[in-house]
This record gives sequence, C-alpha cells and structure tokens, in this order.
Amino acid sequence: MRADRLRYTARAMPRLPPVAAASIAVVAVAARHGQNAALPLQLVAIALASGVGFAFDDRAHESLAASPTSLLRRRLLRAAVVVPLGVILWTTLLLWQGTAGVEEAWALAAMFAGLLGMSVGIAGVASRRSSRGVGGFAVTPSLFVAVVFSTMVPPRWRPLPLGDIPGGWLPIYERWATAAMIGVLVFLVSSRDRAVTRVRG
Amino acid sequence: MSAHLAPPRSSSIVASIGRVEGRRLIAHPIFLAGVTFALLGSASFVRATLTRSDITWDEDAWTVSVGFMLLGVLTMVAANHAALRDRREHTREQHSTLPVGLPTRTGGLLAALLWPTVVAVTLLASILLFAVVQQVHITEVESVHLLEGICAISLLGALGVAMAAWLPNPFVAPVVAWAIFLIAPGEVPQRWHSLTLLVGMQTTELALWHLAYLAGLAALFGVVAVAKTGRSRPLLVAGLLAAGFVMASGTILLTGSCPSDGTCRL
Repeated sequence: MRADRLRYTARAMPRLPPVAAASIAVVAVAARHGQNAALPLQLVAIALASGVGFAFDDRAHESLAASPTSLLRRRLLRAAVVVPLGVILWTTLLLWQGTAGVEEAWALAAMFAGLLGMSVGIAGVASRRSSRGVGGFAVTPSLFVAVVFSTMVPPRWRPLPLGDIPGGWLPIYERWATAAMIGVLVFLVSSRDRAVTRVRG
Repeated sequence: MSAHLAPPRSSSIVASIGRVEGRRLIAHPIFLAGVTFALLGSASFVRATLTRSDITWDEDAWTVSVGFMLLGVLTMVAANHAALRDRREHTREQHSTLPVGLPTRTGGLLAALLWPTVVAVTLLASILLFAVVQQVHITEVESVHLLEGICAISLLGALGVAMAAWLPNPFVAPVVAWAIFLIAPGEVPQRWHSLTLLVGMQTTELALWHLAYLAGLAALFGVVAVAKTGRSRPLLVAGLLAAGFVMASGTILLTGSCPSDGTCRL
C-alpha cells in the first residue's frame, strides 16, 4: 500500500528536471574525476538541489486540495520519493570522486543538505504563491542569487560559504546546517493546508 | 462600405512586442536582482574612490565589472523565463492562431533585450561620469572592456532566448548561470581563454576584436533562436554572416592573443 502510494506520487511528478540534474551531476564528476573534489561536488549539490525543487510542482493542486490528504502529506510523499534518490546519488558520486579528508566530506555534505533544505523551502513558498501550483522554476535562480549575495559578505560573516572561511570547518558545517533547517522550516510553514481552518464553537 | 486595413508590417510588430516584453523584462525580479548586484559593485567602487586617493580604474573598478557580469547572467535567466511563458501558461496553441507568427514573436523577445541593455548603459554611464569627476584615469583598452560588458549583456540575453527555443525547460538557463559563475578558466593564461566571455585583453586592438567576437555571437544566438520556428533565406544569410564574423574574429583572437614568444596578452 505504502509502496503503491510512492509509485503513484512518482508518476505524477515532473521527471525531466530531476533526470537532467542527475545527468549533469554524473557528467560533472566524470569530467573532473581525480582532481580537487570541491568544484565537481559543489556542482553536483547545486544540480541535485535544483532538480529536487521541481518535484513539488503539482498542476493538480486545485483538484487535490479537496481530497482528505493534506497539502503537507502530499508534499512529504513527493519528498519521500525524490530526496532519498538524490541523497543516494550524491553519496555515490562523493565516494566515486573521493575527498581530501573526512572534514571536507562533511563540509560538502553540509553544503548539500543546506542547498537541499533551501531548495525545498523555496519550492514550497513558490508553489504556494503560484496559482498553477508550480514553483520549481524559482528554485535555481533564487539559490544563485542567495549564494552570490553571500559571497559578497566578508568571509567572517558569510552565511553560505562556498570556500574557506575563518574558523575552520566547524563554521562551515554550522552555517550550512542552519540554512538547511531554515529551509525545512519554511517548507513546513508553506505546506500548511489552506482548506484547514480552526472551527470556532 | 467596409474599410480595408492593411496588415501591420512585421518590423512594427517586432517593435511593439519588444516594447511590451522589454518593460516586463526590466521589472522582472530576477533582472532586478541583477541590477542590485550591479549597484552593489558600483557602490563598492564609489566607496573606495571617496575614502582613498590612489584609485585606478584597472585596480579598483573590478567590482563594477563583476556586478555588470552578474547583471548579464541574470538577464539571461530573466529573458529565458520570459521566453518560456507560453509553455508555462499553456498558451502556445492559443497564440499560434494569431496572425503574428512565432518567428516574429521571438524577434520581439530579442528586441526586448534592448531595454536591459539601456538600463545597463545608463548605470555604467553614471559610474563613468562619477569616475571622470573624481579624476580616475581610464585607459583606451579599459573603455573597450566597458563596451564588451554591455555587449555581453545582450549576448547573454540572446542566449537565454535561444535556450528557451531549443531547450524549452526552466531548469536549463539557471544551471548555465551557475556554470558561468563557478567554472572559470585556469589562472595560467592560454590561447583558448581569448574565446571566453570574461577575458580582458591587454591591447586595444585585441579588445576591439573581442568586442566584435561578442557582437557576432550575440547575432548568432539571435538567429539560432528565430531559426527554431521560422527558416527563411534572409535568416540563413544573417546566420552565415554572423557565423563568419565569429569565426574570423575568433581566429584573430586565437592567433593574436598568445604569440609565439610565449607571453599571452590576456
């Protein structure tokens, strides 16, 4: 029953962006295999996070709004389909590429988690605001603008660091983890069901 | 008695669509984010000029260049988003019943790129005026680099429209934007770097050839965008001319940028 639910959800999701993202990720690692791990794995994280954002595009949202399954539940089902696949692919590519050390691997993992969290947060808000229930198109440009703005901030205060910052690895983990948490929180808030209202009695 | 109305000329339709789309393009949130980057880059230069005395355009105005390059990249994403509207809104079939053909509408989108270009020229002219008032010396080759920056905005915009025509998915252009941002040619100058977008030539002659190369590429992307929906003899001629121009200027850049003495003028 549960597997069927995931299968039907996967069938309703747009496939091209996640597949294109996965292809770009594999090509990025293949092209730079054996060199410095940071750039290809950053590209992988960006591509996969961007692809995941499109998974929440739901053109049938108007019809499904009246169903007993809440918006949050419908979106979590979509996340359950696409996020594990993205994480598995990312881990495989990380192992294939290899890193200079455990710290770098954790930093890249934190970055991937941060971008993924931001991606679902942006997609959640954009889909909610869109009358057609699509928000994936807003994810990649928003991530781009956010990261470029971040690089303009002095390294000491940079919220989304792509390179080294003062303080070593720990601030990198903390900042990307914070970005991930904020993203997930925004996603949850944006997934409140419009149809559900408190009944005053 | 019925009045006979002559159909409007294709060029006037392109201009009309260009006006409407251009206004929408410069109000697009992604383009406005690009303008913010350009303003931040310019503000950094203004701050440096007001707080220090040893200012040179070459050393201190790189933030202006980076800001305008980001404006170009985000113009590409915004133009791509505008060009994909028909697909997004499922109005493609509806619009195909209008007397205006798809190539004309693509032409209108390309004409709309004049608006972001005018915005960029205005911003750049303001910062240049400030630099002149502050007596910051700008060399001849640096002036050509500024023109290249303006041309790059049109080029990237045309690339955004071409991508929407041939790869009609909103995922593509932002990923290309990321690639432009993250993938830079190596530190050691090489011959092929002269064909990249962000290279700065050291001589005025080479910088002018690079400007011509960028202009040719912009025209080529425009032709490629229109060619998806309409193929005609004038378009073929324009495409061949643009391709020839790009190949000629590219060959000159490749041979002239790194002469045999081993030093690259990049």
